[in-house]
Amino acid sequence: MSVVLPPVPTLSAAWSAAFAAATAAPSGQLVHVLMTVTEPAAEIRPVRTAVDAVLADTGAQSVETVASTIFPVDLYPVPPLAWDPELQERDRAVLDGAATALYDRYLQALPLLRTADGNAFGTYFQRMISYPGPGPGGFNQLASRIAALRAMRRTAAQGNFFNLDLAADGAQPPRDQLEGGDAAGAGLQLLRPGQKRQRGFPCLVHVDLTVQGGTLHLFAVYRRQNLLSKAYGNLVGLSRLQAFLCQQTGLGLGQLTVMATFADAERAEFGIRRIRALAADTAAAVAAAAAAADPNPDAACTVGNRS
Amino acid sequence: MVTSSVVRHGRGLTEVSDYPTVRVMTADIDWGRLFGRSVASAPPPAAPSAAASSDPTAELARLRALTPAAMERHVAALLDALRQRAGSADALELAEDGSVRVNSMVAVGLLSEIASSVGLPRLTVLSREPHGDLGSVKGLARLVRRCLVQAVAS
Repeated sequence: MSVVLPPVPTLSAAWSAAFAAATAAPSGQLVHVLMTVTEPAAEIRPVRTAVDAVLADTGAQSVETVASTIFPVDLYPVPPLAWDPELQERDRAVLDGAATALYDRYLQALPLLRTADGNAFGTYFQRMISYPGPGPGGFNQLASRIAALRAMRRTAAQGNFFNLDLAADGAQPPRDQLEGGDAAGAGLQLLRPGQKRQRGFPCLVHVDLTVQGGTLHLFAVYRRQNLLSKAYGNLVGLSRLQAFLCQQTGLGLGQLTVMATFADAERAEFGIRRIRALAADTAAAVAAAAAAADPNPDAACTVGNRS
Repeated sequence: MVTSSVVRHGRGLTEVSDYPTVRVMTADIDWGRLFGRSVASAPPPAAPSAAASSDPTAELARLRALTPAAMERHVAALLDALRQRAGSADALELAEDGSVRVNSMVAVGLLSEIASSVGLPRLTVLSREPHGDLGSVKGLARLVRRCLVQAVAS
């Protein structure tokens, strides 16, 4: 049975709802789970702290480490401005230089990154900037999408764009498509063409970008979400990826939606008592944050309520 | 028990959503907070990187001769330069060994810079390294010294 969770303002609340639902399921697992964050950059810090404490206890990767697999924010010199069609040449150079620095630093680190457990077939960010990989020299999907979205903004031809997987076949799209509005809404392909492995990397197989009314919405598809060891970090990483695309294109930050075709609370790995306690603690933290944000629970929702 | 408060990364998010026009992104947005980071308000100045070395052999010899304390200072200086280039204004935290804590991605970036400066594609195989060594300046310094000795020996 599909599980469509109601949209929530913070990524913490989205994660908490999905984790609680999976924890309560008889098998600890769910299929076709949809979570929506209306303000992707908003986070309830105590939820992350609680998740990180369990991860540290068990020797699992921290939220920040998992997030860096989607978007390595530490390598991005965040500029203090966003792209605009009328941006001065000097400011445009700052913005473009920051993106180039991110790509270059990551590719420099790639030979070492690929020696980490699980990275033999490549990494998520590598597939975004050097598709299909696993090494450098591939097609930079991010740069292509940014160029297309900027072109769209220049011509103000905004509208709905759906899944146009220009890079899905591994070939570099024609130049006119890269620079034209047709490519603006294209997603990021993470699955390598011809991949025969049924399990393992990549769990995140596709990132879809939709532009509507000057706002960029991001939709990520996972064929598997390990809800405790990975999902929170994945949401943080995706929200940063979305912020990066918005900054580099000047588009507004829209909603972040994640579809997990299979979601696992990871009872076997972390123990049922531990995950039940974490589900209860984090749900309480989310409720407390909601109460603090809206002292009058009978009033209409004012947090993240966008139409 | 967990206590709660909402951290909104990015003042003006509501304005962004309420006014979805082509000019929604203005200079008053705190971009660092959207990325969960504290960043300098001005574009980051150019800072030297370890990869700038013009003589990898000499650099390898120089680094191999460093004492543990000197190597720790070298790694700390590289971390400083990386933070400068990234315009990071995040507060530094201490790891369990008392030296500065390093995020895993930063650690990989630093190790890659050092490898490049001594003319190697990479210093080590991450899956064989103790995770703790990647989490602090002191651990990284220890790892670099060990790897450089092995690089010369092989």
